Amino acid sequence: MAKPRNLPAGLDAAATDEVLVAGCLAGDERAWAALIVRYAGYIHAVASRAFGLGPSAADEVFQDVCVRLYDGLAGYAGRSEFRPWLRAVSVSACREYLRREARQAERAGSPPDQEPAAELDDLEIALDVRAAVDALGDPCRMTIGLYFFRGLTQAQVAKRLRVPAGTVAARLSRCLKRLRGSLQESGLDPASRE
Amino acid sequence: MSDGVDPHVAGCATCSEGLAAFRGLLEQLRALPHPPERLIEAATDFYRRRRNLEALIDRLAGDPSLQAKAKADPARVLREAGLEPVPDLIELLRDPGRGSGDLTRRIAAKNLWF
Repeated sequence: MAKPRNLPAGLDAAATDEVLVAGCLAGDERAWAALIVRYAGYIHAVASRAFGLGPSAADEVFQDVCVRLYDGLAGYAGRSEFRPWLRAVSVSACREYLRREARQAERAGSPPDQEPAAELDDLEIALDVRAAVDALGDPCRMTIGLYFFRGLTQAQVAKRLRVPAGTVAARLSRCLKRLRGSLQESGLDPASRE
Repeated sequence: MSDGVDPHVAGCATCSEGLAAFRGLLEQLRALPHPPERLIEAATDFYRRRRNLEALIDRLAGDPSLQAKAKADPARVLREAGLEPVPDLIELLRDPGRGSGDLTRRIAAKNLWF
């Protein structure tokens, strides 16, 4: 398995999107890497989960979104919140992919204009949860990240973090409780959502 | 992390609500799996390549001697700019068209950023 990529040194997990965007515009490669690490899962999930694209199509859309982000950052430059802008860019890239596919397949009509709003909203919630995980700091951020985001087993997480397996289980339990508490404080508790 | 539900929890409204909330949380945590690492690597490399390429295009626009060098030995100019001398880029440098804007458009059209 590839070595997990953490946020580059000097850019902690709490750096705001605006700080990262400003860094990208200033030519800071680390800021770009941090922005990509933060949102790669979301961009990919918009394509694969919300629009139901296959793995290679989702990869293609992901690359397209990266190019659009780069091209659009100067124009965006913090005029609004980053996440809604990223959502719009990702949705647009998916639609364009589907239109292109339809043209190539010479199918009649074009993809529906209505976006899969419910699925996209679910992904936004998942992004909120991920941000809350980042805010927990280490070791919770690392433990939850490796177990849930990277899909490692508890034994693999233990090996990676060089701690006993029992510690991982205990940390997961403790960190999930902290996470839920934090989400409740922010009004983002899963129990309060439908 | 087990899916098995204790009989007490199953019959206890408070416990069941708590369990459902945690299950919802776990679902959300699993909703955004990390994409393949190669994609992250490619996206990071893209930024570096793109900036290097744009810097080279800017320098080419204002430096006739560099233009001549690029036509004569495009691979070397690309390497010196920190870029891999792939055949499409070599071809574009040999025949840069009408100015930097044209070159940028052709690079984008050939999808050479990634």
